[in-house]
This record gives sequence, structure tokens and C-alpha cells, in this order.
Amino acid sequence: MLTPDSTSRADGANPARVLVVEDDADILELLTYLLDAAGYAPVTAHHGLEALDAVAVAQPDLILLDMKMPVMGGAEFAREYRSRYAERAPIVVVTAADDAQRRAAEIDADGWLGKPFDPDTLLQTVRRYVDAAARSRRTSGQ
Amino acid sequence: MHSSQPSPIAHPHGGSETRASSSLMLRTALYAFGIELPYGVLVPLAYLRFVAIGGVDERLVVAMVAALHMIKTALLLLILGRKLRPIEQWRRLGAEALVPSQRIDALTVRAARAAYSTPVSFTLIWASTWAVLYFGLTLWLLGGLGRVGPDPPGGVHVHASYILPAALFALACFFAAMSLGYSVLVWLLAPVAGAISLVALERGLQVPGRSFSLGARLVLLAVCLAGAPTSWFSAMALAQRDGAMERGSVASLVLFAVVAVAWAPVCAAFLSGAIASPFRRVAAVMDQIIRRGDVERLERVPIYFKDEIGALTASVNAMVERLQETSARMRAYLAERERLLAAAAHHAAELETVLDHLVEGVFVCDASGRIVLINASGLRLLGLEGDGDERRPMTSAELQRTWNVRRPQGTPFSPEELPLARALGGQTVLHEDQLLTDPSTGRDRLLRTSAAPMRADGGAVLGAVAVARDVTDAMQLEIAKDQFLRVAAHELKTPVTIVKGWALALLRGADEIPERYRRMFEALNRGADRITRVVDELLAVSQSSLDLPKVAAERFDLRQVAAEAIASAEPSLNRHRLRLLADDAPLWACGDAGRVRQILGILLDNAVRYSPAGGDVDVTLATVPPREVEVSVRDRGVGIPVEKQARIMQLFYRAHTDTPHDYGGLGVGLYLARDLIMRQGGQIWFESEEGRGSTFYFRLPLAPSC
Repeated sequence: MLTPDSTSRADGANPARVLVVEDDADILELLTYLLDAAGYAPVTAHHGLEALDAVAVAQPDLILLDMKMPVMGGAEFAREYRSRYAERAPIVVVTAADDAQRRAAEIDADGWLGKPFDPDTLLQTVRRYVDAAARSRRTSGQ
Repeated sequence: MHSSQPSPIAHPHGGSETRASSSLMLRTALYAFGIELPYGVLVPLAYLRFVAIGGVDERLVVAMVAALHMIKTALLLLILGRKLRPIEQWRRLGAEALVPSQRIDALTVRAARAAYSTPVSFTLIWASTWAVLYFGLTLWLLGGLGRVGPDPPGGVHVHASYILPAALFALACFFAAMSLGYSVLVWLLAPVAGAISLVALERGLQVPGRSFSLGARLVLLAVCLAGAPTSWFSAMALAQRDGAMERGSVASLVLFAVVAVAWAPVCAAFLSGAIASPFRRVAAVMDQIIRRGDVERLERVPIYFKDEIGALTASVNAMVERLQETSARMRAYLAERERLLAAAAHHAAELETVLDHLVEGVFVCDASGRIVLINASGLRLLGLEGDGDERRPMTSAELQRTWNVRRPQGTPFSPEELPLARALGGQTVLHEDQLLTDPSTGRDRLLRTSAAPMRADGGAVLGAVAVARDVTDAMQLEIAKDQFLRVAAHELKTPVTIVKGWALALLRGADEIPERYRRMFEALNRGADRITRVVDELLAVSQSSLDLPKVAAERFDLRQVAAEAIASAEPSLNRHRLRLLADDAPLWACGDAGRVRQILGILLDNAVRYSPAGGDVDVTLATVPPREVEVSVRDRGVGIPVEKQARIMQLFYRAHTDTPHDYGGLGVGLYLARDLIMRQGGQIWFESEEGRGSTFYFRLPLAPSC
């Protein structure tokens, strides 16, 4: 198989869990593949409601969140998620909307990524937030 | 006595009937000598009584006096005829056709002079004939020359003492004839003079004739009236003392009384008639002025005498003229005013019609901000059509309150922020949008308004006018279009993400895949990028037309932005070389770095697209003193035909459509670039030569402007 870029490869011992919330199956598969290949442990959900369940089970280190989804959209999920959990994983909005940045700001997300994206950019972004989350977890854990 | 009407002398140009040319002469002769005749008989009879010289043949004396009178009268008639000839000639002018104006003027002046001077000059001659006649006759009778029969002892001779009574008697005759003759002639000729004076006035001629004071005339007349009987009695007294005359009998006294009593009233009657006439005319004119006020129809008063009365009538005439002038001016002014008012009303009606048929709503306020005019479309915009005036807004503040006027984003205006209020403050407002809600229906409307102050010549603001167009439907369409574009863009980007993502994911393992597949994946990636660019351009245009001011004004390093733009354009190149020609140091400009990158991206894309054979594309940065920076993008491509250069920056215009140089694209890039650069306070232009390439320039403010 393909060997993912070593620069963006995660620590193999204890892979970070990345929750991917995306209604489009092809994009979900693409993201899962890229994250998996980069050494992360992707968890998938097709909409906000599923994602809330997944959060309860998996306790992700990062959430990649699409905005426009059936059943429960990104904005509603973010609101629910924040209201339920005191300790939260960072949220990166991944959207095809032309005003991605504004939408991310609206739901107080930690970062944003416009579609279509370059896999390198995606993995760099993921790594930045995962590392930051791991650092803060280590700090709070000590 | 006699009529106060002037002799009906026809106007020389009137062509009306004229009396027989001799009528004046006849009348004058008839009156003059008809009155003289009784005196010519009575005086000699009385005279013979006073100079009662024995032995004188009375019949002989009477016959002699009558004969002398006949001769004298004939001579006087000749003189009178000569004097009145200009008047007769003047009167005949009316019957002649085509008389030169100069001749009429000359004759009028001569006739007037004759009419004014004849009474005095002819009376002098006339009275003199009386004096001479009776001086000679008396002398002759007193001297016994007329006696019949044997001569008295001592011979016949004219005694020196006879001369004085004879002279006194002649003087009495002179005085009597003078006053009588003058009275009659004035009575006859003054109206003629008046009629001529009217014509002279009408022809703009100075009324001729020597002026003769009324006072002097009355004094002379009094002298004559007093002198005649005094001289008579003196002559009689002297003759009796010297015994040349018998003492007076009753009969002779009666005769004297008859002569005297008849003579003085006749003088007075004629004279008073002549003098009163002009006064009556003046009074009539005054009466007309006071009572009727109809100045236009006032007639001129004839100038009967060249004296104080004449001066008075001349003044009255001048006054009438002035009144008529004033009246004519007033009439003309009133007519002009009427005309102007009608024209103004017409224009106002026209304007109102035009205003009411305008699609745009027109709102006008005065300097105090009171709304003074709203046209039919304006009322419709406010939902007031068919309503009475009671719901009409009186001020823009009221309009703002009642109709909840606010920005399209929803934030309310303060009353002084409304276009009309700002125009009143001297500003010109162009195409600004306001949202308002009809309070009765709750319907929202979007208006696009322009407003401007109305200024007087001096520049003072008299009021303001606002023109508003209902763009609700257009805006809804625009919003729908944008919404559609966003949805479409979203729907397009999702599959593109899949294509691009997988192509790049596969390329990440490039070492393991054959070269052929690598090239295919790269092509897939480029194709996805092109779709993305088209979608982004469409979105940008829709945002651009929404007029959302999303342009930042920040300090940024133009050199770095240009380098980034070149770097991001490079991966898609194979035959071209992009060069950045600039100093190494940062170049701080003022604007929106992201937008400038976008502009450079568009220009670079065009430069590469339209130089298919490859070659250098140069991006040059240069400061333009004092505070601008100029960016140019130069290619060596196909260039733009001159006839298409003017339209090159229009939306959706593509210069190379359906030509061998059609390398695709939406025709959006340059429009967008121009829009973006103008919003940053910059400018954009280009130079191009077909077959040689194009250079696009844009300028931005330098950093200190931020």
C-alpha cells in the first residue's frame, strides 16, 4: 500500500483519535484513508447525532466537522457538544462553503479547512491540533 | 352764445369731409363786418349829433362814411384773406391725397402761427383804420370843410384847437374797435388754433406762435374798454367848449348810450366765450380722470391761446400723456404678468405630469426639512396611493419613524442619516439602499436612493431632492441568484474534493506508482483545481455585485504577496517562467493582502493563458512618488485587439471568444480585479499590442496612508 508522508505521521504507539463527521460517503472514506495512513485512529459519523454518540464512546482528541449534514448539522452538533462536555476536543470545520472562516467563527470552532483541500494541508492542520490537545492533556494530567 | 366745440377742421390725414375752404374766411368776415356794420351806421349818426355843425348835409356825411367804410372793409378783407390763407391751405390738406409729411408739418406750423397771431395783428390794423378814418373825418367836419353854403366870416381854416378833439375821437374809435375786433376774432379763431394745435401735438411738432401773457392782454383790454368812452367824452367836452359843437341834446345822449351799451357786452360775450372754452375742456378732462378713471380714452385739450391758458392746457395734455403712458405700461405689465403666470402654470402642469409618470419616487424637501413634494411613484413606494394627505410624512424624521427606514442589513438610520437629510446638509448621495416597512401592510421594500441639495445661485441650500427606485424585486432576484450560486458552488466543491483528494492521496505514494499513472493523477488534480477556480470566480462575482464591503485596509508587504502569488501559480506551468522584478526589501502597501493576491492571481492566470507559446511573465513592483506603488504584470502573448480593449474589463466579456486564441474562462477575472482594486482606493489599466503581448498595471496607496 501507500506509505503516508513521514513528516505528518502520528505517534504509532498511542494513536490519536480523530472523529470525522461527514455525510458524504466518498469524502468520509477519503478522510478516513488519509488519517489512517498518517497513523491516526479515525472514528466516523455521518451526521451530528451520530457524532454525539461517537463522542460518548470514543472520546476523540480532535473533531473534523462538516457543516451541512442531514439529521443534525455541524452548528447544532457543536452547540450540543459544548453543552454536554466540560472538557472538549478541538473542533476543525471542514466545509465547501465559500465563507468557511466566518462559519467556523460563528460556532466558535478552533480551526477551519476549505473544500477542496490538499491532503498535506489537512494532515498539517490535524497534527497541529492533535499535538496541542495532547500537550494540554499532559499538562492537565500531571 | 356760441358753441364751445372747435371748428370741425379735418385732420390733414383723416380724409374726412372738410368744409368749403372759404367758410372760415366767410364766417370771419360775416361776424367781423356784420358787427362793424351797425356801428358803422350808429357811430356816424351819433357822431353827427355831437359834432353838430350847422349847415352840414347829414346825408352827404353818412354817404361819405358809408363809402369810406366800404373801401376800408374791402381792403381789410384782402388783408384778412392773406392772413388766414395758411389756415385755409392747411384745411384743404385733408382732401388731398399723398401729401409729403414735411409739407404737412410746415403747413401745420404756419397755420397755427396764423391762428394764434391773427386776432391781435388784424385787430390792430382794423382798429387803426377806424382811428384814421374818424380822425380825418372829424377834422374835416370841425374845420367846416363839409359845410354847404356860404363860408363863415374869417374864412375856412382848420383851427389848431380842433386837432385835439379830433384825435381824441379817433382814439375812442381805436379803443372801441380794438376791444370789439379782438373779442370777435379770438372767439372765432381760438378754436381753430386749438384744432391745429392738436394735430401739431399728434405730429410731435412744437406748437408755434408767440406767447402773449393773459395778464397783459386783460390789462390792454381794460385800457381799451376804459379808454373808449373816456376819449369820447373828452372829445365831446372839448368840442363843446370851443363851440365847435352844440350842447348835447337828449337824442344824442340816447344814441351814445345805445352805442356804449351794445358795444361793451358784445366784447365781453365774445371774449368770455373764447376764454371759457379751454377751461371747460380742461374741466371735462379732469372730470373724466377723476370719475371714470378710463385714461386710455381721454382726448387732448386743444391749445386755444399761447398764454397761461395755453400753458395750462399743455400741462393737462402732458399729464394725460403721462397717464396714458403709465396706463399703457401697466396694461403691458399686466398682460406680460398674465402671460408669464399662464406659462408658469403650464410648465408646472407639465412638470407635475412628468413627475407623476416617473417610475422613480421623487421626494422634495425645503430648507427646513419639511417634505413639500412627493410624486405619484413616491406615494406608491410608501404605500400611500389613493390615500388622502393625512398619512403623508411631513419630515424625513417622521418618514424614518413611521416607515422604519433602515439599512439593508437591518440597522436603523438616525433621521439625519437619511439621504434627504444628508443632501440638505450639502452632500450628494448616490445609489444607497434603504429598507423600509409599510406600516399598514407590514411589507418590506428595498429602495435605492440618490439625493442632492438644491442650491440657489449663490450656493445656499434651498432644499433637497431625493429620487428612489424600488429595487425589492431586483434585489430578491439577486439574492436568489446568489443563493443558487452558493448552493451550486457547494454541490460542485464536494465532488471536486473527492477527485482532488484522491488524486493527491494517490500521488503521495508516488514512488510506488508508475510514471504514467502519476501524470494521470496530476491531470486529475489540475482539472479539479480549474473547476475550483471557476466556482470561486462565480462566487466572487456574486459577492462583488452584492456590494459587500469586505475589503480590509491594512499595511502589508506587497513584495511577499507578489512572491506568494507567483509561487502558487507556478505548479501549473510547464513552458512559462514567472519573474519577480523588485528590490529584496519589503515594500509596505496599504490594502487587503488577500485581495491583492487574488488580483495578482487573475493577472498571472491571464498572462499565462494568453501566451500559449510560453515565455517570460514579469511582475514588476515600483514605488511612484509621493505615495503610491505600481504593480505591473507583463506577458509576451497574443495581446488584445485595439477595438476590444475598451470592453475588456466588463463582466463576462471575453476578447478572444471564438478566435484561435480562445483559451477558455468565464470573462470574470478582469472585472473582478478592477472591482477589487477600486474598492481599495487603487486604479488599474493596461497597455496591449496585438501579437506582442499585454501589460496590466495597478496602483495602491503606500503604507503610510493606512
